[in-house]
Amino acid sequence: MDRDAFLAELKTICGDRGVLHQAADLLVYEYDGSVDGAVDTERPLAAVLPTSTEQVSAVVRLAYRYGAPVVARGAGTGLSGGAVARGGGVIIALTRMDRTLRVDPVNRTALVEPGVINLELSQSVGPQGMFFAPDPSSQKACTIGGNVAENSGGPHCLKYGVTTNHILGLEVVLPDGTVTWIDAHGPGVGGLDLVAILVGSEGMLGIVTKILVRLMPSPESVHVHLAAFGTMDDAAVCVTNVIGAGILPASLEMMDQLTIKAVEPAYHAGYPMDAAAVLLVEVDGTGAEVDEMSAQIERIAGESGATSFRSAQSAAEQELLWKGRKMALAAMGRLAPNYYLHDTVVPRTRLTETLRAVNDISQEFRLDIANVFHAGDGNLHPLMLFDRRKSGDVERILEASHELIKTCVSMGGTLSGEHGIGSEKQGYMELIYTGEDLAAMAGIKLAFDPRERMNPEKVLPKGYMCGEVRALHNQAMAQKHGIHPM
Amino acid sequence: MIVEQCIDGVAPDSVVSPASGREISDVLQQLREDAAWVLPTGGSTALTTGNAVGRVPVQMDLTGLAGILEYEPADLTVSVRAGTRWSELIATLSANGQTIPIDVPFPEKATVGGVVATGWAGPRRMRDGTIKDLLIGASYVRGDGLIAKAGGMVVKNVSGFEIPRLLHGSYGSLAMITSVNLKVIPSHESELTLLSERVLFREAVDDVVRLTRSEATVAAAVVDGSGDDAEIAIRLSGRARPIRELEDRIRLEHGQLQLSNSLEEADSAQWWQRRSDTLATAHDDRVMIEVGSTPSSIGNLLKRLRERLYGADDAKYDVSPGTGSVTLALPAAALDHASWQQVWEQAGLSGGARYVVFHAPRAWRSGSQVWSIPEDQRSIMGALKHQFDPEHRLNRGRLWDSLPSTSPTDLETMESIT
Ligand SMILES: Cc1cc2nc3c(=O)[nH]c(=O)nc-3n(C[C@H](O)[C@H](O)[C@@H](O)COP(=O)(O)OP(=O)(O)OC[C@H]3O[C@@H](n4cnc5c(N)ncnc54)[C@H](O)[C@@H]3O)c2cc1C
Ligand SMILES: Cc1cc2nc3c(=O)[nH]c(=O)nc-3n(C[C@H](O)[C@H](O)[C@H](O)COP(=O)(O)OP(=O)(O)OC[C@H]3O[C@@H](n4cnc5c(N)ncnc54)[C@H](O)[C@@H]3O)c2cc1C
Repeated sequence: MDRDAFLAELKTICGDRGVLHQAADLLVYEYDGSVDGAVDTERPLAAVLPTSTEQVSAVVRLAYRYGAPVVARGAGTGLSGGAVARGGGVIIALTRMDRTLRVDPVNRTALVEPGVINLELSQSVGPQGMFFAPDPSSQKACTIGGNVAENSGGPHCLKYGVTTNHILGLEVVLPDGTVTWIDAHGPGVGGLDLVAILVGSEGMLGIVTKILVRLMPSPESVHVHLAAFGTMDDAAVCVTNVIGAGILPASLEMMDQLTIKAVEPAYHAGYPMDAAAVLLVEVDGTGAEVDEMSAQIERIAGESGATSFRSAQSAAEQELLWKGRKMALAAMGRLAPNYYLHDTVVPRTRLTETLRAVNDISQEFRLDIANVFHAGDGNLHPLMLFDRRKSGDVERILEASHELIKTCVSMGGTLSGEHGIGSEKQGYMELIYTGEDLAAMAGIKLAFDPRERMNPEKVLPKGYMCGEVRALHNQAMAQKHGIHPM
Repeated sequence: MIVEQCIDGVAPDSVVSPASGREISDVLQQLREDAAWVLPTGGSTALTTGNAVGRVPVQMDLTGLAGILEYEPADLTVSVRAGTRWSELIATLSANGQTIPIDVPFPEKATVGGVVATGWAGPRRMRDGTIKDLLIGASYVRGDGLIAKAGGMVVKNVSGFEIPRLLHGSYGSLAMITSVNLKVIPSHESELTLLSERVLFREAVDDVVRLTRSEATVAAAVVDGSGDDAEIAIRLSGRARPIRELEDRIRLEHGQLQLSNSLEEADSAQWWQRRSDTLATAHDDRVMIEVGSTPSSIGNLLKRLRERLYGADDAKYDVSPGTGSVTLALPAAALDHASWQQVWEQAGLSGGARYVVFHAPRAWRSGSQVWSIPEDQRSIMGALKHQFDPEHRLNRGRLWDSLPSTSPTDLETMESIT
């Protein structure tokens, strides 16, 4: 490929300042938020910063012509290597497309560009009594486009569902550069639900350039409680009991002792330092509903062995209790220079067992593992603490990670609840899927992107990349038509 | 009963009743040799939606794939085979204080697979969402015979492409669903329906839109009307005390709705079930179309529809203002397919609004484009169809008449081998 000619053409589309190609400028685009070692970093050919759908489409067409892969990128907070350009393609960074185009308070929707920051959307529609429900812990930085691509979740997804439940329509630039609007199923909408397959497709099927999101009405009343426990087992049992009693809190988050040790001295959120685990429970709804649920939860916590139970008495106190949870990852620096954050999910009734197994892994590999996670969904986030500078630490972490993922799968669990597969967990896909399952997924990629130009070499493990599946498909077609390749 | 076996009034040439995914795949292999195609069926309660399929060579009756595979109430998840009757699933869940919040018509006949494959939701979607929101996994057999699964038994999962949600609402045109995994929800402690006197249709719709915008916890709200009159029904469900408070507030602040009657608990649930059954009942000589838009434009949309269809006797409109949906039903004699297209275009309805033809006489649905699928989405839908069912073995014509029968991908493939 004539790199200079390609760069020159890119500049005619995005302008000189919209195209980065010097090594120093590209440095930040070699990474995302994932752990170096678990995910390979790679320098892209160039990074472009388009400001319109037309520019995105033109870049995609151009790259198609030059045979260069394209990789969409939001804020780069992804934790599975999704935004790293495999094979040195062009990064299309959508951060300059950050306008909220329309807010419709009657229908409770907003039309946004993909670079809008998650938290900023909720903040801007808050005064109109609405919020955008998916609230990843990275919400101060991550983009809605990234949320769509990863089908992101967050603490409040227990009650409100993950990103896919809040997307009504998308404008997408397909791998050949075509721009299409697609709708999610709704009244009167027939045909295939293309939004359902686009959400969570990790930038492999299309680049999202506009998003019609559903906004939720802000609840009338919100209570936040903190229950402390003498053992992790008791806390896990409490989670199972709350869910089993048919109560649906807005969120139900657990933090273990190690996390409390990191968080409390840093943020003084009021978590008891001697607790083995705390549960942060938020309930919302009408005043009467919230009163009833709160009373029920307090009773269940007591029955499950809670050593203390506290309810925030003011909005400020609620915020402080949440601050500890939201800043937990940042506080880990107090314990170790590096951490590897996992994201497995198990059925909720297997939580106790799984947490014990995580503890066993921590002992076996002589690793500190902190747990801070979406307990109500069974979505674990074991944080393995390490020091990259110590020789052997990274290897030990990777081995322990392997063990952890296998353990969670053996509990009936899955590889990822919200961070995606990317290049990080590609190699694990065969733990949960058969060759046929993966061939069917490759078929989806093939339908959208037969030449594998958009975010190639992600999600599907080696051997299921389109080339191979296509060869199988070709053979079958050929045989049917009585053609036998030489 | 012969009538029972007819599809759109015509008996299929043959019926097969596989008992497993493997058997389904074998049948598909066999068909390949015979160049025939299959119509998958569950309870056969919704076979008159979309394009007429014509004469069916093979009906594949999936009701043999019945039974609950895995149910752990404390996890709030269930795995169920696709041919299981809806009523059986709901009975199992209710015995544990759980449910799935949709009023499926004819639940003793309709199957879980059919409910997922049609993807219809009803007025409760306004607050409680649809079965798509609850779908966490599925096993299926593609049209080309490939047996696969996706998703799992956990409530959050982003491990690979979301194929189960793609199968939702695909009307059996990509794959045969053999089992699904669903999240379930705790049953509501209490429910109550408030019913109005006869009220003025046009105003009622606007009033109900206002109610659903100010009271976000209303479970469902409908305005069913014909001529100038309508009746309003408001469903409240949840915890007993909050519901009563909500009821009081609605009566106080929305007096113009004239909600003078109410139904409690089982009576309330039955009322909605009956409404669902009535709505989904196909009459040979009637056309039933669901039009969807947004709550803010529903009043206008309805006004334009009624102006255009003025004089069509006996037209009924079932409106769910909070979800932006109107289902209209009228005699087929009053509205043939060409006139419907005219109404659609002249009334300027196409801008953003969409429709699905739920029922219509066979002739009405034959030969012409019955789905309102935007042109620019079709090629990608066609490419997906091609991956799942390259030889169009499934549901030939139902959803795909107007879609390309070979995708660009296919042409490329053929070029590369010839
Ligand atoms: C108020 C209300 C009104 C409704 N009205 C309509 C309506 O008018 N039209 C409509 O389509 N739905 C409607 N529905 C939804 C429909 O009634 C339900 O989804 C359900 O009853 C269909 O189940 P069934 O087993 O009878 O499906 P069937 O009638 O047997 O099949 C329906 C469709 O699904 C396909 N299918 C069935 N089982 C499978 C499977 N296992 N795998 C793949 N494909 C499969 C069939 O090929 C067919 O295209 C309505 C729902 C409500 C709540
Ligand atoms: C401290 C921290 C906490 C986190 N907490 C959570 C959490 O609680 N829940 C959760 O779900 N995740 C969490 N994450 C992960 C991450 O923030 C989310 O995955 C987020 O949605 C990524 O958004 P982004 O804008 O940073 O996307 P990027 O990292 O830039 O990209 C992620 C993927 O999306 C694709 N992509 C981005 N934009 C587009 C677009 N417009 N069109 C198509 N594809 C696109 C990329 O190609 C890539 O594959 C956390 C991350 C960090 C660092």
